[in-house]
Amino acid sequence: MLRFLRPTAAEERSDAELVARFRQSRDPAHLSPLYLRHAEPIYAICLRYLGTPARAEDAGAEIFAVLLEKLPQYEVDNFRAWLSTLVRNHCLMQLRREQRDPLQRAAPGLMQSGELLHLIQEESEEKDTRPLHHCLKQLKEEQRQCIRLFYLTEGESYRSIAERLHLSMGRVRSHLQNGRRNLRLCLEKNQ
Amino acid sequence: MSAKSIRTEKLLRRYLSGDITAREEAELERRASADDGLREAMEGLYAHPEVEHDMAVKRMIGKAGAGSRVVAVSSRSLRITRYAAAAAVLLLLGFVAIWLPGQLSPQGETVAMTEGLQETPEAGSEKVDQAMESEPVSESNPARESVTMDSRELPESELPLETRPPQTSPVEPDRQATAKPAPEPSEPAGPVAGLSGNNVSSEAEAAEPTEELAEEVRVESPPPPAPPIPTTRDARKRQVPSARSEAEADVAFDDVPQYGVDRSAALFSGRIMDDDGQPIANALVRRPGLPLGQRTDSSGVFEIPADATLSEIIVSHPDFLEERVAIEDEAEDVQINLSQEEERRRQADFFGPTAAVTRIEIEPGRKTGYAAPLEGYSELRRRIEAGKPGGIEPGKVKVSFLVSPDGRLSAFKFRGRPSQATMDYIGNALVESSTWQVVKGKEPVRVYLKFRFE
Repeated sequence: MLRFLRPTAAEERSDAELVARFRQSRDPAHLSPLYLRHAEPIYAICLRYLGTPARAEDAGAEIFAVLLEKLPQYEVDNFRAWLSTLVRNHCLMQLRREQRDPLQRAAPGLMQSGELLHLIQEESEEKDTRPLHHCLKQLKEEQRQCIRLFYLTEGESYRSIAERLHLSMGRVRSHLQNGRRNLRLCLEKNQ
Repeated sequence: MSAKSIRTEKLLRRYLSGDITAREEAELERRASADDGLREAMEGLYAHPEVEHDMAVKRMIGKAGAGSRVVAVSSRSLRITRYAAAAAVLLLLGFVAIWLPGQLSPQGETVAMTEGLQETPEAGSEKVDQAMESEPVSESNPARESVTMDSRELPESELPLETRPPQTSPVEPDRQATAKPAPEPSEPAGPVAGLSGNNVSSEAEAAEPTEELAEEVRVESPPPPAPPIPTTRDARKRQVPSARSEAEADVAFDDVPQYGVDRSAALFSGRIMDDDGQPIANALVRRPGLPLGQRTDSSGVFEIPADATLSEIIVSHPDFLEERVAIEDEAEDVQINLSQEEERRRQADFFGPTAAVTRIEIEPGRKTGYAAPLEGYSELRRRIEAGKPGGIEPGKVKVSFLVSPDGRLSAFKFRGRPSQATMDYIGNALVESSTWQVVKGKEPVRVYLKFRFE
């Protein structure tokens, strides 16, 4: 539904074009496509710093007003990078007001998907994949099923796996994430 | 489209919506490693894998739009209004579809009344003749009259259920479905005659005074108002077809609890018998996990609602060992044999095979038959259990198979995983050494048997 609601003509325009148009008109209607396009990163960065989806929603909504005010004031070459900084600073300021340590949230150590894809799908090469398969067997059943489906079956998505295994998409995402983490720990231990 | 050509925002959107594939996710992570903002975004999402982030983003956009009165956002809310209007129209249509039968039911009642009135004069009821004169509705509608005329020409036994054309009432299929259980209960054989139209009216006349009073009220009142509730209930208790049509208005709500069966659903039926092939009455047949079920009638027959989830039934009776039976095909007629406990079995054996046997006759017209080995179940079981070759492991073996009307046995299924030798022995012994017949049935019957090897 969200896709329906997004203005289609704005889809093809680059960030720079949209920024230029807004700077000219200062019309909030011209900021809207830009905001909608980057809504997900805005929300996710807020989530990274503020820690809860509800707070991320609120802070992300405030960003629209901040953009309205600040975007006309700056020359922006790389909108995405500039926006990331803006969102990060907004969240840090909020945390500072609450006197919380912004660095207390450590990034979770994950095995990268690409690394795992490479390990699983490049079996024909000389690389020894026995530790990988040994570690796959150590995983919990649901994690193993999700990992096998996602990385060994072409075209499977979180959604398709969720439907196939009768799980919620969140559970699939969680199993994949935890499965990758456990795989990484297991492989490091066996090295 | 390769993952590399997709914009980062779209990849992120696909990640949140769950449509992302492994290659796209790898590409997203690769980009995140080179882009601090994206890396932080991914870290934020990884910290909460189970949250429905796409919904949160929608809410965030909503909050942002509400705070800044953006034109684009207002156009979005306009569209939302349109969607809401469309949804409301759809809801309304659904509502109408549900209530349409309810609104048409007064017509159905009129038809039912008309029929009742047309039929009763044959029984010579003066009271109803007067009612006919005061009932202009039935004469003003030639179509309805033709229906009643037709139904008068046909044999009485077919009157109430089969002669009414479907257009007379939209609830017609329901009426047929509710009619089905009527002859089922284990009343003494015979009174199938209750279906006759004349019997209906005479029975109605013979009913107690309150019933007559209610009949009068119904005749004198104009068609639209619903008939008095006590009349409806009493009439349905006696299972009189004309009363059923009067009760259409509340049948939709009352019938389901009454019969415990969804009328649109298929029924799974079968027969419960003991070792000697005698039907077991009052055995409880239920689905696992559900405390309530259906009891078998005096012929050992049960019917429970069947749907796609029906995979197993539990049959229990105080005098017999409980049996769990896996259902493979709901369309098959099944026959399940319950064994008595050892103690009771020994007592039963005391009487020996020459003990008197009463075979309960199945009501005529029933399609489902039952299968029986000519030598009797006890003898068959004893023979097969005693004649086992050396390689058979001790224990219980449950087997089911289809008995065709011509006596052929096929489609053997064993429960669990007995050894190949056991399956071969039982299968061969049944096929080669036992003679089976399907009594009073035209369809194959699936028989469930249990053997106990020492």
